[in-house]
Amino acid sequence: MLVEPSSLAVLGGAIALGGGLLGSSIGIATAASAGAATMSEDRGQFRNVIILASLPMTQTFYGLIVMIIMLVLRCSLSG
Amino acid sequence: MTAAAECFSAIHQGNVCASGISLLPKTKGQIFTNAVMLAVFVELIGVLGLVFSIMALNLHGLM
Repeated sequence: MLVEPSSLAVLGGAIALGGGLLGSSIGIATAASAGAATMSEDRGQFRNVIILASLPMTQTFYGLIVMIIMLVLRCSLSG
Repeated sequence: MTAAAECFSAIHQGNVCASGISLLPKTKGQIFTNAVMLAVFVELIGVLGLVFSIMALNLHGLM
């Protein structure tokens, strides 16, 4: 067989994790650049800025979950 | 599909969080809870991508 099914499963899991990483990096960059402007005006909002800027990071963990599931499931594929 | 869902979901969640952050000093932090609630709506799309990925693996008989 030219392409093994298990290697396709590993590639799909890697693409899922890569999508989560790409979106999270762009989202955190957008939120943190607004947070820098906010911190210059009001120094007391540091905790809220940190919490709101780290919210897009959670999408990475969903991609990580999908990659772990596909890495576990590739053992059950024939080939 | 999971990759596309989480990519666009995270990008637009960053936009929502940036709008909430830019309004924090004007409202003295009162908008923080509302901004988190609006960001969780965008987060729902990422959770749907995860759930549909697991459901597709189930439909192919892999789990």
